[in-house]
Amino acid sequence: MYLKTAFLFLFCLLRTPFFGQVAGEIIFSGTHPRISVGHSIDILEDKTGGMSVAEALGSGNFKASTQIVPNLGLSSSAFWLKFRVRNLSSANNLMLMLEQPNMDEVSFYTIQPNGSYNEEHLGEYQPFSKRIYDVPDYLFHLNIPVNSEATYLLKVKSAEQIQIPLILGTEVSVFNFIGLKNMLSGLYFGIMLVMLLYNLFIYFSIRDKSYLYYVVYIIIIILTQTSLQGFPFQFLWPNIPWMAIHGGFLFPSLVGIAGLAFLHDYLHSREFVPKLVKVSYVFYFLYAISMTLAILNIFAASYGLMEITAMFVSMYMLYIAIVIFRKGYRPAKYFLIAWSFFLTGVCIYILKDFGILPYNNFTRYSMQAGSAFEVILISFGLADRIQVLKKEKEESQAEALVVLNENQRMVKEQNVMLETKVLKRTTELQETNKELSLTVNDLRETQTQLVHAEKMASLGQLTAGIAHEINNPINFVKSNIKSIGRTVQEFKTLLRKYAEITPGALPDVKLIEINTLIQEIDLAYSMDEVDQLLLGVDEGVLRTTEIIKGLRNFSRVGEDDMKAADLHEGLDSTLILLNGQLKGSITVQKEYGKIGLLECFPGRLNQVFMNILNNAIQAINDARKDTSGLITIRTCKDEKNIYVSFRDNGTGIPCEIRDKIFDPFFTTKSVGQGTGLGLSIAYKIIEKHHGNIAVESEKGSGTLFTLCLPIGIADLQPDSSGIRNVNS
Amino acid sequence: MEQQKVKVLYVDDEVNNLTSFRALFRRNFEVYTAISAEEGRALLKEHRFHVILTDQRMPGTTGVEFLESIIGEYPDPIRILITGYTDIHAVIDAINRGRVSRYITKPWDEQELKMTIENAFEVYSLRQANIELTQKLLEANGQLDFMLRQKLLS
Repeated sequence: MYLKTAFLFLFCLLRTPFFGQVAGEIIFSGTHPRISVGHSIDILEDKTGGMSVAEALGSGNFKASTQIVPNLGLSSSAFWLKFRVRNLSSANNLMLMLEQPNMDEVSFYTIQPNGSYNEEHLGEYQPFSKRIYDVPDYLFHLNIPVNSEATYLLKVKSAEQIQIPLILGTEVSVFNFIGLKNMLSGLYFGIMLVMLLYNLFIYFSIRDKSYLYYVVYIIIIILTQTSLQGFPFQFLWPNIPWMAIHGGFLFPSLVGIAGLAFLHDYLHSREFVPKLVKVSYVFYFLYAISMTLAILNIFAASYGLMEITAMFVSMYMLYIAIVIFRKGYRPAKYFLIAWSFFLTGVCIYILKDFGILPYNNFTRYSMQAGSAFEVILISFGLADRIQVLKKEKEESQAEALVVLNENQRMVKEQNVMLETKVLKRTTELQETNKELSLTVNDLRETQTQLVHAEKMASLGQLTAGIAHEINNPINFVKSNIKSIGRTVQEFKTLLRKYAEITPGALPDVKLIEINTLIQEIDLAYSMDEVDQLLLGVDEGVLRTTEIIKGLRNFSRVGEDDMKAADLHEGLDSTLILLNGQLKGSITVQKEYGKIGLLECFPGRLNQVFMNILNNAIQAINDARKDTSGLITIRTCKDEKNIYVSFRDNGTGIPCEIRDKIFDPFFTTKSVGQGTGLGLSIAYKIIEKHHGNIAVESEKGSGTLFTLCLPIGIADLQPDSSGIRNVNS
Repeated sequence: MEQQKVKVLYVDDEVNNLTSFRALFRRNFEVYTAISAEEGRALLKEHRFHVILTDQRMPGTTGVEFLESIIGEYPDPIRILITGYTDIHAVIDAINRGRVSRYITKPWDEQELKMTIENAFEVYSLRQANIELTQKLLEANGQLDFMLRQKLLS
């Protein structure tokens, strides 16, 4: 791989290859059927590449190789390799193998003793089909008979690092070797392919981009590694020498780019070492330049740049892996191990090239082995990533579970809290409810009390009127009786005087006495007065009786049940009670129609009449001071209803309060003058009779109240208990 | 001072009350009755009353209003209000506006009423006597003054 070249470059800097004394002779004894002969050849550098075979043969500048695998470094020169082979074995079909498929130009010359030569031209400049053997390495038949020797020239030229791993052996052993090589390459290729497919499948199944990067990386590694073996040229583009030549420059750069991209993705460098990641852009740039140079056929510069870049990239990758490993990211461990394997492989490979380690199958394939191990280990790492992902997932699941549990716990707690709250609220509500019930009870009681108070107030008002009405007759009855008594005494005295007149007595004296007494007591006046006084007593008693009757009629004691009643009687009784307030100043005009009896609660209706008439009287008293007050009471009837209307010419009701007059506690009277319940109670009573109250009023001209009472509500409402609730 | 018969005016819209009152007190006092405030005012023009009694509740003009209306013209008679029902407003009005000396409720007590009228008359008489005496005193004073001047001149 490219790293190999990078390291070789380092070695080259440290150890300039030297060329020893002439050796040039290879003795093939047959003890080993196959031998490396790199250290037994002479090498001539042809700087221009323009030397002819004769010139090369004749040159004295050949120098002996000292390395098993001669390393000629990076050079634009052509190199002539001269060696003589003495075949001491029993095989006469010896073959030479240049185990370096990446030579641009390989020419093989068999020098005849007479100086003439046969030539064979191979290399990447030639299409693969020109080769005799279908192998990427270069194979030449030596045609040395047993116990003879021959001289050969091999001209090589390459833009890449020139290494000359030369192998000499019998045909069978060489082919065996090639078979072994193919098998090992196949093994490597197989491993790589499996890894490729494996990661590709994983990518398809879990869609993690790392795997795709890795697959791309593996593909490029395969191309690069197999390029070293010359397989792509053999199998992929046998007729495109351009690819064969340029592949050696392009693939290493691509590997570098893919490797860096994969590294960053795999190790999450962007998270761990974001600043270091930026350095890789420089490498991308350098690689791009290198590839551009290769495409422009400026090979030396391209190769040099690529090698230097590769060297720094390998160190950079190692450094990043270590840094991230230190940060505790597990995949970095896998990467480090894999990378170490690969580097070890590369080192072994190079040490082999420098002869420090023996040239054997292990050392020869150490790089591929390292690469395979690298790929496998990184795959492990990727697999471990799945593990890590799984673990992370499990952890997150566990975390989610913890969170869930926590949530559940909280929900439970909140539930408990809510329940407590609900319980508390419920208790509070129950308490409130209880309080409200108490309040309602209180209110009911208050209402009852208020209704009672209204009754009392009405009664008080009534009493004021009635007291005056009753006190007057009582007053004159009482004093009349006294006066009558006194007059009767006077009459008695007079009668006694008359009684003293006996037939025997002197009547004149007596008569004078009587006459004086008559004068004294003003008899004529007294007798007239007595009549008047008796009339007064009579009237007084009559009026008192009337009032008491009216009172009884009005209150209808013991008549809370529905019964047929004459409304006119109720109206008259009410008027009698109100007489004191009406007297003199207000005229009451009755326009009674023929309405007959009505099924009703007479006492209740009288209360309604009383309330309406009281209001009318007050309205009239407020409006006028003279005697022009007029209340018209009219009754009439149609098929369904009886109508009772009260018209007054009082102050009237302002329209803004007309809607409120039936509201409880609404009053226009001053405090203590009215409860504000009169009309509201009246309304309730009429409602209980299934009737209604209509109000027409104009401020200043008076008010008309019309009661509409349906006939036959006894059928509608057999249960009369509701009425009691209103007023009892 | 010779015994003078007390002249009493009683105003009430209830004719029976007027009759009763007259029957009760005609022997003691000189009783005049009126059925309304107007009639009362008419009587006031003809007679000089010592005591005026009136019912409070009357159509048109109430007792207090009647009393209030006559104060300016006839300030001397003692004013008494008689009412069938004690209404605190009426009482307050009677004192402040009608300047009544007594407040009597119906049904009245004959003795109490009689004494009230007599006491009222006494007050009236005392006031009149006071005025007369003052007049006499002034006269005497004038005579004395005159005599003193005569003496001083002579």
